[in-house]
Amino acid sequence: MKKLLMVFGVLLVAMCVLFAQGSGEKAAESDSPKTEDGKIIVPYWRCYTGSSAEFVDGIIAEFNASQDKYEVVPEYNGGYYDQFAKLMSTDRENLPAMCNSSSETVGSYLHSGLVKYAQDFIDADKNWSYNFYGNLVATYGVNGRLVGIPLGFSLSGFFYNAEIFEAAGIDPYSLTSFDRVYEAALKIGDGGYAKYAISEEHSGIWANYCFHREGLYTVDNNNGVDGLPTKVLYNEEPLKTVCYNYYKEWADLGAKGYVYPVGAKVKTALAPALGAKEVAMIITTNSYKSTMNDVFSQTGGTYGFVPMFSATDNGKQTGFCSSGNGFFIINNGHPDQQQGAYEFIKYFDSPSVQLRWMAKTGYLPMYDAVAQTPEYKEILASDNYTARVLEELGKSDYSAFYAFTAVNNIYSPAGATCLEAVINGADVQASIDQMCETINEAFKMYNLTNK
Amino acid sequence: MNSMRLKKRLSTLVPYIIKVLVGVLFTSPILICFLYSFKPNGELLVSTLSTFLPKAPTLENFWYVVAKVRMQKYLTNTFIQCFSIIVCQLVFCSMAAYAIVFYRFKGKKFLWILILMSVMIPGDVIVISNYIQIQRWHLTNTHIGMALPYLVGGMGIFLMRQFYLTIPKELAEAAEIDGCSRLGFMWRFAVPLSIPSMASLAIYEFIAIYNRYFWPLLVVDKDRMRTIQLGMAYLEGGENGKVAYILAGASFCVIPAVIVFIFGQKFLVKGMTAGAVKG
Repeated sequence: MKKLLMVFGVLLVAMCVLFAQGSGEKAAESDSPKTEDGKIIVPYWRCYTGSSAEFVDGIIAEFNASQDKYEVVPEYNGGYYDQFAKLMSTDRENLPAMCNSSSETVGSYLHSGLVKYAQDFIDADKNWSYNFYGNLVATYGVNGRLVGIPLGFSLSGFFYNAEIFEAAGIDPYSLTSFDRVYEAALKIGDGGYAKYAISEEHSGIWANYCFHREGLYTVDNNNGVDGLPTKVLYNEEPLKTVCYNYYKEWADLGAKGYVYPVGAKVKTALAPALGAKEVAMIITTNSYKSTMNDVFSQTGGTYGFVPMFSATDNGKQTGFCSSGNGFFIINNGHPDQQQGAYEFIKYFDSPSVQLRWMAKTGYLPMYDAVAQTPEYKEILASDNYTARVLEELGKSDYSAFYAFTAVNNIYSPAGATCLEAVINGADVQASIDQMCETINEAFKMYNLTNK
Repeated sequence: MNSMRLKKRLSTLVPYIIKVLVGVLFTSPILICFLYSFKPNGELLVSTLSTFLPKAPTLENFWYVVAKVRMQKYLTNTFIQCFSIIVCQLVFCSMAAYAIVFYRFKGKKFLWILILMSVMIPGDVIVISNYIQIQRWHLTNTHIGMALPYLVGGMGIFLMRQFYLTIPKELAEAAEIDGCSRLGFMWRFAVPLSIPSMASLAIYEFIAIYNRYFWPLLVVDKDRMRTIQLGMAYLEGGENGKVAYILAGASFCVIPAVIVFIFGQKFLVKGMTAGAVKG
C-alpha cells in the first residue's frame, strides 16, 4: 500500500510539473527571435486568404527587402472571430506583434487588453503624421486616439443594376434614406422591373450603419466609447421609433415577396442575380467590386454603388461610417517587434502601396495625398461609380462610427436574425425585443467576466 | 396476364427509380461542386439550372489550387494525424473497453459514468482549455500537440464496449478453464472478433480528423504544419475570392473522405449498431 501511495505521489508531482511548465504569464521583454542575418522577426497574423493574401504577402516581401532591421512573417489563423478567439487564449509569449481585422471588431480589440494603442507609436514618431479622413479616425479611434490603424477604406451601401433603375425612372443617388429605398423597392416590385427589388448580404451591421449615419447611437456609454456598453438602445427613444419603422418597412417588402431570399451570399447568388436583373439592388460593401466586374463582364449592362442611406429623411446626416480593415499592434512583450509592426503598417499605408491595393480591392483612398495622385485620377476615370461616391463623401461630416462593442460576433448576427424574422412574417416589435434581449445578455456575460 | 406482369415490373421498377432519384438528390451537392469546378469563375457566376454543364470546361481552377495550396504537404500532415490518432484510439479504446466489460474492480461504474460524461461534453466547450494546456507544454506547431487530446476518446470506448458486451461471458470462462489468461483471451479472441467494430471506429475517426478545422487552427501557426482543411480555407479569399477555386479545392479535398466512406460504410453501420440488439 505504501509503495502504491508513493507511486501515486510521484505521478501527481510529475503531472503538476508538466501542467505548470510554461504557464508563466510573463513574457520576456527582449530577446525577440531573429533571422540568420540578424533581422528581428515580426510575426503577423493576417486574416486574408486567396488573392488578397497574395497581395499582402507581396507587400511584406517588398517591405522585408526594403530594409535590414525587420522581417515580417505572415501567418494565417482563421477569419476575424477565429483569430480573435485564438489571440484571447494564446499565452503572451506566443502572441504575434500585429494582426488585422475588420472595422466592426475595433471594440473587441479595444476592450481585450491585447493591443497597444497605435496612437502611442504615431506620437513617438517624428517622421510620420497621418492625415486619415475623419470617419476612419472615428472608427479606429477613441476620442481621436487611434486604437488600430486602417489599412483600407471600404464603405457600406448598395450596388444597383443601372438598367433596372433607369427603366423604373429612379435616380439611385436620390435614395438617401431607407424610407426612400422602401418606396423605390415598392415601385420596382409593383412595376415588375425585377423579380426581387432588394436584397442584403445577411448581416446585422447594415441596420447599425444606417442608424449611425442618422446620428443615432445603438448602444449606451456614448456608443461604447466611454467604457463597455451595458445595453442596446433599439427600444429607447429616439432610436425606438426609427428602428421599428426600419424593420416594419423590411417586413412589408418581405410580405410582398420583394426581398431576395435571406441568407444568400453575394459571391454565389446575389451578384449573379443582380447581373441577371433578377434583383435590383444589394445592400453590402463596395469591396465586392471585383465580383461585380466578373459578373457584369459576362452579363453585360452596368452597375453602380451608392453609399449607405440613413433610416429616415429627418435624421441628421452625420457622415458615412467607415468599413474595411485595420492593423492592430499586439502587446506581446516585445517592443522591438511592435516597432517593426508599426514600420510595416506605415509602409502598407504609403501612397504607392495604397494605390495598388485600391486598384485590386475597390477600396477608397484613406487620405487626400492618395486621392490627389495622377495614378488615382486615372483609376477614377476608368471606374463607373467611385468618383460619385467620393463626391457624396465630400458632402458629409466625419462623425459617424460603428458602435464599440466587444461582442460584435453576437451583436451583428442578432440583428441579422431580427431582419430575417421580420422579412419572413414575424411580429416586428417581438423580433426587436428578442434582438435586444440576445445582445443585452451578451453584454451582461461579457461585462461579468471583463470588469 | 400481361397487366399482371406489368404490375409486377412496375412494383420493382418504381421503388428502384425512387431510390435512384433520392440517391441523386443526396449526392447532387458533390456532383454540382465537381461539375462547376470545371467552369471559369465568370461563367460559374451566371450559371443557372439550364446551363448546368460547363460550356468550355477548363482545368484552370485545379491548376490554381495545385499552385497556391501545398496540397501534398497538407495531405501528408492530415494523414499523419489520421494514422497516429486512429492507431492510438484502437489500442487504448479497445483495452479500456475490454477492462470495463471483462474485469471486476472497485469504482468501475463510476469510471464508466465518467467516460459517458466525456462523450456528452461537446468538444467545442473544452477546445480552448485544451489549447491553453498544449501551449504550456510547448507543443504548439507539433504533430503530438495536434493529436494529444484525441488519442483516446469516450466515443471509441463506448463503441468497443458495446461490441465486447455481445461476446458471451461463458466463452471467456471456458478459455480461462483451458488455461488462457484474460489478456490472452483479449488478444486471441476478443480483438480478432472485434475487427468490424474497430474498422468502424477507424472510419469514424478518419472522417472526424479529416474534417477537423478549429483545433488544428488553434494549435498550428506555421504553414509547414497545416492540415488539408486549413489549406482549403486559403481559397476562400474574402470579398475578392473566386468561387470556382473554392469548388476545385473542395473537389480535391473530398476525394479521400469519399473513398474511405465508400469502402468502409459497411463497417460503419455495423459498428454503430453493435450491441444494439441483445441476442
